[in-house]
Amino acid sequence: MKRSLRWAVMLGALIALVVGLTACGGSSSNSSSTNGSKAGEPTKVDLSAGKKGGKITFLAAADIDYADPGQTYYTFGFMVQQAINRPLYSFKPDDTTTPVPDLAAGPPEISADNKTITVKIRQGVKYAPPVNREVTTADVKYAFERSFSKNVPSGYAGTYFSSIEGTPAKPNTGDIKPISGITTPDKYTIVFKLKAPQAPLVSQALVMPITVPVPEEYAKPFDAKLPSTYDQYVAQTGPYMIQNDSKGKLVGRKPGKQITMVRNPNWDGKATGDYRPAYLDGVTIEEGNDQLEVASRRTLSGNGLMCCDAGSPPAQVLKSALTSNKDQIAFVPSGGTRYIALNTKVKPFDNLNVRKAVVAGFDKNALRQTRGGKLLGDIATGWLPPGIPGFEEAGGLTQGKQYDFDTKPTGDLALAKQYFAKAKAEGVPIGSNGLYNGPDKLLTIATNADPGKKTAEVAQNQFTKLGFKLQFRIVPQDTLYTKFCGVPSQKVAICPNVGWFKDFTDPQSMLDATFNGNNILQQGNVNWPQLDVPAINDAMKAAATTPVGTERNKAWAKINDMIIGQAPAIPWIWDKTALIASKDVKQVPNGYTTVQDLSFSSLK
Amino acid sequence: MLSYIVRRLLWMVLLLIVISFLTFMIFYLLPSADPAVLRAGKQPSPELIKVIREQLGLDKPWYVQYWKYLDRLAFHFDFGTSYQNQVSVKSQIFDRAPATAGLAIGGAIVWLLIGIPIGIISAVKRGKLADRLAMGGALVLISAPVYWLGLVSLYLFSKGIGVWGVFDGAGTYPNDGSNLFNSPFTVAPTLFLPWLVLAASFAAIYARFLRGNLLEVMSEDYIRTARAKGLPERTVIFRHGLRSAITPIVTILGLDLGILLGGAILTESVFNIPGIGRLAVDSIQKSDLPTIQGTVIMGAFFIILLNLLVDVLYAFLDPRVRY
Amino acid sequence: MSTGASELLQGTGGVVGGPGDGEAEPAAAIAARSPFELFWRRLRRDKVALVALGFIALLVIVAVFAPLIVKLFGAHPPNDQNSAALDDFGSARGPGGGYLMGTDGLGRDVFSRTLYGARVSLEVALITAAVAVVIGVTLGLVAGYFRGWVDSALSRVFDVLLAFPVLLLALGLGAACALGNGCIAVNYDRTGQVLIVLGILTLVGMHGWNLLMTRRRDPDLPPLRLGEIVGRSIPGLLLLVVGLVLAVVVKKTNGALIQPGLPVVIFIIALANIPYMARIIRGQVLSLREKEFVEAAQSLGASNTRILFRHILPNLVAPIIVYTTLLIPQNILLEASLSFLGVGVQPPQASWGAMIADAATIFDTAWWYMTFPGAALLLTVLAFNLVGDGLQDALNPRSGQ
Repeated sequence: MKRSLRWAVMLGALIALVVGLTACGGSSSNSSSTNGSKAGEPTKVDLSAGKKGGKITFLAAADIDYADPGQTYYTFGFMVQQAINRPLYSFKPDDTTTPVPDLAAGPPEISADNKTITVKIRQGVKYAPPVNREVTTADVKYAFERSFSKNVPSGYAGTYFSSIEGTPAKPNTGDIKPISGITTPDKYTIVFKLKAPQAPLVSQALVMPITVPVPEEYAKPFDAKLPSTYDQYVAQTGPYMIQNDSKGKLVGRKPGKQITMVRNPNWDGKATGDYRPAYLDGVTIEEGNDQLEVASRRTLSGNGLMCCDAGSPPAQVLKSALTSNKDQIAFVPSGGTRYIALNTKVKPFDNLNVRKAVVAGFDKNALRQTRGGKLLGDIATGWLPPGIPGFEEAGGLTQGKQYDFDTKPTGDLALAKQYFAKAKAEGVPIGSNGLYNGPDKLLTIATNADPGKKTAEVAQNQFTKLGFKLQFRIVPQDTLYTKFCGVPSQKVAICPNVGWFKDFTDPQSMLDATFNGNNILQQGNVNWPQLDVPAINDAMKAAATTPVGTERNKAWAKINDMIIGQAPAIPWIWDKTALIASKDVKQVPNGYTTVQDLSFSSLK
Repeated sequence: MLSYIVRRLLWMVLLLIVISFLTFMIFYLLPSADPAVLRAGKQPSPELIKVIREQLGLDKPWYVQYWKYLDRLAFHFDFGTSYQNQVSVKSQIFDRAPATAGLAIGGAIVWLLIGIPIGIISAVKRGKLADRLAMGGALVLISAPVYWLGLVSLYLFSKGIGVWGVFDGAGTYPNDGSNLFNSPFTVAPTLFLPWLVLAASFAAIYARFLRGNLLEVMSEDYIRTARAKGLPERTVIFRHGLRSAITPIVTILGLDLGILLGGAILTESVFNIPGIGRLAVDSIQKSDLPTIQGTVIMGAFFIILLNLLVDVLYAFLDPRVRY
Repeated sequence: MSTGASELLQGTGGVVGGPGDGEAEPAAAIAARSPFELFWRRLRRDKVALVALGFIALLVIVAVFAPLIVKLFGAHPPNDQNSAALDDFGSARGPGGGYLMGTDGLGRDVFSRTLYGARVSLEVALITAAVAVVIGVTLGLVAGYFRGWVDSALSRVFDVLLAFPVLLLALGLGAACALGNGCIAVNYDRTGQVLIVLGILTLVGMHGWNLLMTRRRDPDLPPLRLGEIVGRSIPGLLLLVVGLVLAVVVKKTNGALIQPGLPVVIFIIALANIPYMARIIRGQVLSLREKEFVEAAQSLGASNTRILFRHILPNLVAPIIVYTTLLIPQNILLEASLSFLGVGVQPPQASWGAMIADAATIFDTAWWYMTFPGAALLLTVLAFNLVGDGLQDALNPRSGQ
């Protein structure tokens, strides 16, 4: 499935319908055709050659989460990582479904039993100073091993790579230990042996920055600390490098202030088969621009600027920009679903009919308004977003249409009352007005930053309308996940600000971690509704081994349907991100990172 | 005099210790959230939390923790490391200090330049229209929240947005390490509007204060004597009246600067100036306790220090003060 | 003494009107026979202050009857969200079409939210002022009248409190308490019990020391007086009461003592006000107790309690009123600032500061959203300042006009 479209912001992009065969193109044209306006459509990614040279400044609100490839787990971190490092595989800006070999020399070889993956890497790829030596597969092996130690807390190693033989169930304490399932027969070959036939998933996950090589002899002293200080000394292989000193310390990164990236003198794209054109001579990330409004205005009217790490510009800026500066805007589908998780282990959401009533009665359109309205996303009806294989098979934009409660974008109070009435028959306290009437104050944990905070306030209002009483708490986004919603023992009833975004493009990666009952963790849990339905768990187990292709998509689309039937959460948006740049900047959005691709963008 | 200064210094040290203890209490003992969990980052495994607990010494009794904390603070000037990124709080504060200093000192100059003349004129023209207008306007400015004043001024005067877009707007303060002291000509334009907004309420207060002082002084006997001697009114006001009326201004100026140097939180927030106040707000948004704590202690330090300086200076300026 | 510009919000200087405040100036009212009457007569002449007073009265009415007024104007309830009032981009709507002052980004009525915002402002201002007056005046009286070590100890405590950057401290506490289940999540049973024991020990110790050591050494001292007993009992009693409250009352409420939101704000502002009020009262008492009428009362054998309550306190009423009035606008500004910075009221409650913070992100397109709450805040603070000014002039006519 090709999702190769740039977003036509201009009216001229009526032709976007032409590409309707693709997932996103199809989806967006459905959504916005009602309005006749084509704003918000994906525009074709323009990969024509750019001008060489010059520098760009990226306006960011805050620092990247990590420069350490083993730890970074946010889009903005990925953006920088893609410029300074080469993982085994990565995505060209215009194609987010088929990864291209990056450090790897060719596609992964998968054994017939789906249990062995062999990857060969390119010769002659060199680290930037001060490491200066050639990259070998031992470095990739070490990168995996360190990510399974607790000194390098990885956000996803356990999620996607725990099926590799010899990986510890819990992050290793003390020394970084070898993983028996990863072997390097020679300097340019690496072999992954799996415990289960999970090769379809694992091979696709090799695009993640965990596969960025880490030179052991150089990184060891940093990794010996807890947490590892390698984050300040990252060895780099990409076309750009964060400025460092003779010891490798990233002096170009001043947290909260700026990151200075310059050309990597040891990078030779032609010789080492790097697809990145790397037009720019350097990129400076200017941090502290956390007033999105100011930053986006400055970008639109300024020179040599790109923006923003914190999501789309505010609605009012976008609104005026769409009439006056539309060439400077590009829309990228985020490849994820935002939803309001209902904890199925907590009363009254342990009752299926209560959950259905909530999903039916919720005004999802009001929620979407908090993120900039219909231009910035379609109302979600399921958990396979546009651009993810399986989206079409699941029913496209009308996933779950066989469930009456799932197809009410603005909420249907009468239908909600019907389900509440059914719940009443099952002993749930329902008042005489047909709405929920329990005495319990439901613990709700929301984020303290807009637009999430606004979304949560709308959700708060909607829950109150349906008769629920909330104990509403506002915490920082990180705290929300690590201390509350991701910790089942906290018994958080409602998490209004959760969302799951693709790590790579595979339907399993969208559903397995988030709705499989076997994946409920006591810490860092992402199955926020704590849904644990044996039939769904079993179906996932079977579908996991299905090889990449239509069969696999169909199998996961069916699971998606089963999940919708359980109403474990209120999906409300498959959002798009609006990226902006100055007039003199040719910005190239990357559909994988959903931000600009620094190695493809250029000055006009 | 010397013994007075020594006494004040000792008191300052004691004050700092007490304040460090209070902040320690607030940030280590009060929160029901576990600092180790906060420190553990995005993947807080129980093992990691345990190790961090040992690392931070959280498994020790509180007085041991406090002693270690005080030890680091007093002898190494070490506020610990930010939870958010692995950077020391100290270097973050030092990084941000120039922006805050530039805002505060420049602002102070502006409000003195505006406030003192208005105060004098008001006192001289006491009861006249000019006085009433000035004092009325002053009271309005004192009553306006500075962040609101900031927004309104941005709405009216910032480039690209304002009806009269003549000043640089919010978020234009350079992030590349240049500040008012090493590159005044690029930084000053971005600070004009913040200076004016910050100075507005201060200028109003100083004008009122000076006016009150001057009126008070002008009714003193020695002024009457001076007048009786037939000195011109101008000389009476400027040579005799102003001299003693302005001394208290030095005091409050010192104290106000002390507070502002610890971070002009609201002004920095509205105008997006990367100073200590912004650092505090940012770290609060992220529950970054060591950084918040560092900024609170720095803030208290500046207040106490300027208090001391003012008292000593006052002792020099005003011979009536006994010490 | 600092100036208390809104960026500082130290609450230490109030609005400085002249040299009449603080310790330097003896209360002017002393000379008069019925100071309060004189004070009121002077105030009545100040037209501006009276208009401001009228505005405050109006504000109180608005705050109390906010729901009624909202209905009267046909406005929408303050927490009613209306996504239909927003445009395709979800941006706020300007004044008109059933929304007198436009809507915010969630389609809520700015008019009714501004009205309801008056509630929060006044609530916080009045509660904190009341707490500050009760505790601050008590401490100030004790310190100023008994002097000696009580005075030194209390004055040092005030020094410490005044050295804190209030806004920063408030932000810190707000952040620390917003996590988990609020602040001071100690074992209230045990803490309360420990405090009770400590209180009893202090009581016994202080009286014991007095009786056994001081009085035995110096048998010529006059017999024990009630005031002395009360004075010496205060620290112990304070501990005892706090202990009892913790052990009996707080124990039953679950979670921590200071919950996120308004309670934190009130706690902080009160804490910042107390030393300010106490210092002023102490200064006044210090000068009052040297006056002839106190000496006269003492020579007539009046007890400390009688002198304090019958002779000194009445002379403090006017300054207390003046300084409280000057504190209130500061507190309103401080609450708004804290809400502006995100550690004040919790959603969906409306507060002017929080509304301005919301409006700050869209200030250039939604002018109405920042204008109305800001104007309400400005007018309210201005009114209190005007009244405070008028009161101060009435109390101390030399500093005015």
